[in-house]
Amino acid sequence: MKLNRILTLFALAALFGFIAWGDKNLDRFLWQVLNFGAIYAIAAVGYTVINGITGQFSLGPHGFMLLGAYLVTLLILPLEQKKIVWLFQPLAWPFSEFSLPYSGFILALIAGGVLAAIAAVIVGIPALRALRGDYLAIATFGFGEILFVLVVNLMSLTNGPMGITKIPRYTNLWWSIGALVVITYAAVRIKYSSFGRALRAIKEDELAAQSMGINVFLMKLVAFVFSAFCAGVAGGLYPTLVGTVSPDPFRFFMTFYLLIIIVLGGLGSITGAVVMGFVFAGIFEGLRILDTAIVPGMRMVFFSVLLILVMLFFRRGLFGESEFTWDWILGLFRRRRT
Amino acid sequence: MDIQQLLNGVTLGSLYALIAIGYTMVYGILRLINFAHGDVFMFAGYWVFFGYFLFKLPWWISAVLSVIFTAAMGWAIERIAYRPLRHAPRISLLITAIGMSLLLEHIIIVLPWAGGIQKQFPQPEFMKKIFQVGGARVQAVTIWVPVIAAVCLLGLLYLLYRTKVGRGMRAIATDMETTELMGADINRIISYTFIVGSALAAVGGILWGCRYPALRFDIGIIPGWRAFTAAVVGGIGNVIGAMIGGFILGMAEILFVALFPAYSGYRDAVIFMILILFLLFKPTGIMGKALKEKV
Repeated sequence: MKLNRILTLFALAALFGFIAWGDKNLDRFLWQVLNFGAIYAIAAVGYTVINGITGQFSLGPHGFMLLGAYLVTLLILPLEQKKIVWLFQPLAWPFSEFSLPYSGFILALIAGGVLAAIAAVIVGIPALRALRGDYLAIATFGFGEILFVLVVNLMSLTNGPMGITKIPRYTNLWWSIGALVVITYAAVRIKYSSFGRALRAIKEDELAAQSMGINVFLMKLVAFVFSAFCAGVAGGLYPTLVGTVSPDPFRFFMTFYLLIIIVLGGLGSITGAVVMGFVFAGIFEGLRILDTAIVPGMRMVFFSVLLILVMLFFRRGLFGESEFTWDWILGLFRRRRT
Repeated sequence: MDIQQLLNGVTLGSLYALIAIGYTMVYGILRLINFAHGDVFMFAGYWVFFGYFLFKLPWWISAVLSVIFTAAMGWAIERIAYRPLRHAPRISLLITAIGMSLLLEHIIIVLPWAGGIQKQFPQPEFMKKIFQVGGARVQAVTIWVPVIAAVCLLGLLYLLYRTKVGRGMRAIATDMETTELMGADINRIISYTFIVGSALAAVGGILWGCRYPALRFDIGIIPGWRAFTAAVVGGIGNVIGAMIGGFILGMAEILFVALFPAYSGYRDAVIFMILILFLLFKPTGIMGKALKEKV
């Protein structure tokens, strides 16, 4: 037990050492991939808490990411830029008057997560009470699509399909991987608490969990809100990484990517989601050559075939429901010794 | 509301009804929301496009071949992607269906003769004729669509209630295990279900192309969701309900656009709102029976 904690501290120190070196010295492509990987991983960790651990199939994370992305953009976009972007309709009131400096970035990120969490409460209270299985999936999907339509049409807040440009690029490895470490820690604590065991009981058998005295609805709601918070933070890191925001990156494709990540990592495995988040970002950016050299769209053919094949032949994914732990690594060495 | 609007609503409603039947039959039997159904519908338009422009076939031969190929696609999708998961958790099936949907869309993007850009669906001349009905100018297609749809739907009802395969479909929808124990060949009947559903979607896709001739890889998504909403409104699993739901949705959409033209950008949000409200408050729809939860 103590050994584990020491190992974790060493690993964290090594990780932050790597960030301190890498944030300045890594080659641009790799730096970008790591940032994207961390963003995907943050959203995927939240997604696997509701989808994998609780077994409630949500298809709405792209909507929550959309909320986070736009709120963070509206909070930190400098005032001069706000005057330039909204040409046809002026920006709506509270956001037209102020903009947060760099020191307020963390507040903006948290606000993005909180907004997504509030939306999750509003959707979750009716939906999680009444629906399960594929009906829940459809309802959350519909919610994401409604948000998308609103973002396209509410010009005075979002500037519509044209999007917003020249957003300050605050996101770097410190922000993205830092947020990922915090959220992964929270998710692992959730999974191994009594709350997490209740969630896993709900996944196995909802009726049995209910008769054990678990407040099924409340547990589901908290897991759903947590996952929305993660998606909101991930969404907030996205525009500040690429410098622009438009509704397009947050179409249903985003949820599809996250679904691939958590299915490949093993539904219910938090470390699986983290590892596959980075692997996915690497493959996704690396395979850009398929789109440019062969035909645009080839990448998605590859990913959809991959998802179908994994579901048909390898449903456990990389880690199944288990986690990548120190005990598991140490176990490898011990077995070798004997 | 003038006669033209009314005809538009009926036309759109019959198209939704044709697509909605595929959703509702598959849901009734496998409890699966077949995400790929809207894309099967989209493919039908492309089969006609390929037959007409690539192989220079006459229009009606391309249309018949399109129905056959689309039905074969429905069969193949079930055989390859859904059947191996018959005893897996239902969520696995749903994930596979989502993968299949995106695969079909991107196959179109990748194909050199189609691509991600918009193409023109070949409209036959007899669909384009315009006549005067009671002072309104009416395009022939708005008459043809409801007529062809009605013939297809009557044929489907005959199949369901007067043939052995149809009886098998209804039996599986009631209780799959018992039907299997009675010696029925479940897999064959499920294959027929996908073939019939996809063929109807193909008819819908071809007629859709005659009405709205823009052809693109993503034209199946929005009609697919509206038709799915129609299936839910009508009571999912219920074929007659899906027809009624299709007409309700078609009329409602035309009415909404006619009454609130300024808000027509929000109509997809309204459709999804209807879907969510029905799922929450009347999940059995207007015709469906409540499903008992198995413990």
